[in-house]
Amino acid sequence: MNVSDSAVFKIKDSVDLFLTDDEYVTAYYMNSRKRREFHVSLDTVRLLESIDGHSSVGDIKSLMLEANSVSPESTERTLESLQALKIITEVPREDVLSPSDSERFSRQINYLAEFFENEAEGQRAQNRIASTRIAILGCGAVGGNIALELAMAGVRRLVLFDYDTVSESDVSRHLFFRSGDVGMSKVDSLAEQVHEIDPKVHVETIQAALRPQDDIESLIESCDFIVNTMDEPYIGYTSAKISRACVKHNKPHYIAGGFDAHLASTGELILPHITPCAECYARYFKKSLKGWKPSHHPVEDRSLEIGGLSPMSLFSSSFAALEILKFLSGIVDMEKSYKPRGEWLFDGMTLSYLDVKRDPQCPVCGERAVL
Amino acid sequence: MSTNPKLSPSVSVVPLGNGIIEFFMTNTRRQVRLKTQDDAILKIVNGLDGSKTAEEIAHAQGYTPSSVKSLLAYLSQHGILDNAEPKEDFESYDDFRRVISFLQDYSTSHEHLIQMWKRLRDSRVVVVGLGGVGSWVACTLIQTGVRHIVLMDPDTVDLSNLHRQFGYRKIDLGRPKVDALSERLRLYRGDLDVTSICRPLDEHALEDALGDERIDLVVNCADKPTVDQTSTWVGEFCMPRGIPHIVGGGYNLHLSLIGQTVIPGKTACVRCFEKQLEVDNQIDGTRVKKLQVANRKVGSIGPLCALNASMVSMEAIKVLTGCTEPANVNRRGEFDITTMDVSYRRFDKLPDCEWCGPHGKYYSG
Repeated sequence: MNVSDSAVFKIKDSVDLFLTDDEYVTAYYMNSRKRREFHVSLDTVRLLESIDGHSSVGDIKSLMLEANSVSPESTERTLESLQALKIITEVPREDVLSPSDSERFSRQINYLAEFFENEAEGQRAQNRIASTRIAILGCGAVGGNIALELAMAGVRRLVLFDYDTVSESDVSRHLFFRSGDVGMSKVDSLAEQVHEIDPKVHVETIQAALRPQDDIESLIESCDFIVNTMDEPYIGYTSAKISRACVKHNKPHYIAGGFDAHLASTGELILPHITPCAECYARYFKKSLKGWKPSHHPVEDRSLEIGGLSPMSLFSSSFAALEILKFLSGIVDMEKSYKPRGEWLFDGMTLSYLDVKRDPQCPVCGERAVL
Repeated sequence: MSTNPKLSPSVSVVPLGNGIIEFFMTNTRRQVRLKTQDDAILKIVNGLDGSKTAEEIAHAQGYTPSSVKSLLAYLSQHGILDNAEPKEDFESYDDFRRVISFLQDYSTSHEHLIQMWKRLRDSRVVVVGLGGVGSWVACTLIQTGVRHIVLMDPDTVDLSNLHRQFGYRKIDLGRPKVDALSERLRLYRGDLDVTSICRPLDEHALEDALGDERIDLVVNCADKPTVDQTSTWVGEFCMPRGIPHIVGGGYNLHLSLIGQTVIPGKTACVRCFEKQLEVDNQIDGTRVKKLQVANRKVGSIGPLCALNASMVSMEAIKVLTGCTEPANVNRRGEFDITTMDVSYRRFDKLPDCEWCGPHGKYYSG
């Protein structure tokens, strides 16, 4: 490690430091919730107190020399150790982002940066989020929330796809619901609100339904990431169709929502040829639900009457948004740490995951898949 | 029953063989199983489309009306029958039919379902702190049917809030959060009763503003000066008044915390938690000091705040409707963003607690 005199350091924002008997420092790492203790000299304590995120290493070296008679070499060595212990981090010299974006996303950049070696990586991660073009297919309770949450987090290129208009009973599920928008197309209402939060988001709207004969491949090809929450005719059908096209074009995607799953399901991130695809899930359910065959429900249009709860939709959408942001920003290696679909239970507030693996026989992403 | 029996839209009827019928409640993932002697019951259940009276069903299957009625009573008690009929009995049914349908999984009768809905509609909730968690909590509670809400926050909307706090727009920058958010809430429903209090939470804030007005729940999403301090103040207001309160979690400096629900007199109180955490930390204040970090700005990410808020609101709905017991009593949780797992740690209601113990100042018998 080589510390330049012009470099600026700061104490990592996620680290709490406690001093015991003026000779032990306990570092408490908030993100991992771990703690480490080490012996320090009073000079190190003074050095820690002088690291303010503005003074350069040169300034700090002079200060330590003048006020505490510590040699510049010794100060440099201590800085190196503190950096290795992930207690301090270098402040980027130049902002990758515009000043207003740096301010708007400052807290999030900070959060992201904690996963990397330095602050500049946090800004680059924010840039990756901003430049991703994402299609949200289905803008209902879960899809609409995901669109808002991603736009708030800094996704700047969105394609919103939904045929429906805002109706009075959406009040209980769609975060973006406004009583004045009843009758307006969902994609337009959503686009307007995204712009009210952040005018820099470029939103394309497509007011259409997905029909069996529709070709959605060109839309998928034009995007970097696809979110499917369309539940008409049903989530299984739209997911099979969309996931197949995404695997073909090697597009990462997320399946969420579905009229009878939106209450409890986490949905799942699909990375073609790495995670199970929608077809692998379908094959898994075909096996695991063998013999579990619900009778035909006597009430027609039950899907219109089935329960919905805003906080449950918010759970599903936030889970999805978090997984998507982890993937886009690169703070977690999702190729290794992806989760299969999980289920959240309202009663016990517990979360459990299915044991779904890639199916080697899968006709879409398996060994003998022909696309 | 004045209307014809109908199967709840949330219920899937699954014949498992050997005469066992499973009723799977889609909303809550609850399951009820019934052992039957013959196929007639399955036929009856699968025919509950609301077009026939109990007598007609009995006649068609060759049963006595009283035996069919006792079957229907059983199904109603378990929320398997559509307890929402007749719908005219519910205030604002059409707008909130999905919430009512959700609550139906917990209902034991039509009257019980009406009662849960009425409790929610009449309840008054205080949300303290309208930031990363509180803003989402307020919106989702209004969306679920809460009509009376008190918002407390001293801050104005800042550009750096917009990535994680819901309900604020760019043109709201500089406006008090209580004003901007109450305006957003009224866009959901025009008939809301919103009380805005633009001041920081401190020792007297809740008492000054609300005195002994009826409050059904306080949600604490404020973390200034510290979560422990704001939770203590909220506890001190709620305990003598018997008001349930939720420690929101998702705070600055502890983003992954899932806070506890406190039911005064029944569960561990804020002080019980604090005492058990003190033992844990074993921090001796005379020997340890915190090193002050200059210009600290703590990281945060919106969907994690919203995820936390969703959990707070779910607990709030349990407290307000009484549909089921809140789950986060005597425990608090931690959400791990890397593994996406939730873990909980148990806390006890301490018998020697100086707040809620038998000799405590808020002991209520």
